[in-house]
Amino acid sequence: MENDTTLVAEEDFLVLLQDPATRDKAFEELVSNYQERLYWHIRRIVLDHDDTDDVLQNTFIKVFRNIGGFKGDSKLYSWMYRIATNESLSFLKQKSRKLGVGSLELQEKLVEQLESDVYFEGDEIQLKLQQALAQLPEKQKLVFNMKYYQNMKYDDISAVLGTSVGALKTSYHHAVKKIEAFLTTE
Amino acid sequence: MKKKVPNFKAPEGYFEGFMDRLKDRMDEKSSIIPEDDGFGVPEGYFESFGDHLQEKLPQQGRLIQFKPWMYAAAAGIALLLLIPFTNNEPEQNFELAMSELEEYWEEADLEFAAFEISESSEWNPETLIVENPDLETDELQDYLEQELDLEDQEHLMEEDLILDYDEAL
Repeated sequence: MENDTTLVAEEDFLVLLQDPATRDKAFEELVSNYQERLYWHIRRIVLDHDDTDDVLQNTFIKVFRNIGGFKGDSKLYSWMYRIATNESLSFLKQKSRKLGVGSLELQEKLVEQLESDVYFEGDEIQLKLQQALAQLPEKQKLVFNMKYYQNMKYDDISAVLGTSVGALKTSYHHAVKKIEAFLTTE
Repeated sequence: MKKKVPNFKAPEGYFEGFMDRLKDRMDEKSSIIPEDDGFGVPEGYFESFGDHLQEKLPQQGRLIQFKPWMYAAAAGIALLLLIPFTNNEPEQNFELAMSELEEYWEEADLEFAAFEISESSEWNPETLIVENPDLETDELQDYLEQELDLEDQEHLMEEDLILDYDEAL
């Protein structure tokens, strides 16, 4: 749970982001603080580095464009994570339409491409992990990656995905079981 | 008849701590799923990302500062478009209008202040989204869809996540 100091600090930071006189400097700080976390969140959805770079830039551009209207009803980081998630899913939707394939087929294609991706350093087991993830429903995959690889707390994931903590736990454990089964049997 | 109590005992405090231990077990990393998922990034990517992004913010067609001369150009084009509908001899007057426009272009002071433009225009003087002007039809379609998505997202942004997936968790 965030303490009051953190909440006040975020409110103060939001004021800096919304004031035209301080916006640019505050935005640079925001990018510096969140670029890595958002990069990994996006990368695990779109898989390819160059695509991730595009989506990450679009995410920050959108944050920049909309920060003036952000009312602070949710936390800044969960708002940015939601934008990053939406941008990533929209990107995949467009890609899927361009290639004329369904969502599952697209996931399988993306995993195939990882084999020749210079920025994928995984071996056989990691490739198999991605094959397992490709079979999961999108929300289970999101929850799994956010919990297992980004070590996010359920409360924080809940704020981003708008799903109850109980449902997230169920989703996560379903995902783990399916991935384990895939890795041991296929 | 008195109910028999089973002759078993649990360690003291066992049930008080059970939920915490269960949660710890549930959060444990799997022994089968690798801890590293194998993704890498180009060297120095994060160090240069901020500068790279800053370069893109004011240019690159994502966000373009709408300069006063662009308003002047737009106004000029609007004038030219109106001429055929307001005159009986469009060609002759079109030439005249062109020369007048060129003369005006050469001599006029076009250093408008942003607020002057904003007062005479419904457009937002600060930013205008301009994508690549050489868009192919497919790209244009993508762009429009994306922008429609973006508009939707902006309404939903404070609360909702866009997921197409209705499957049970």
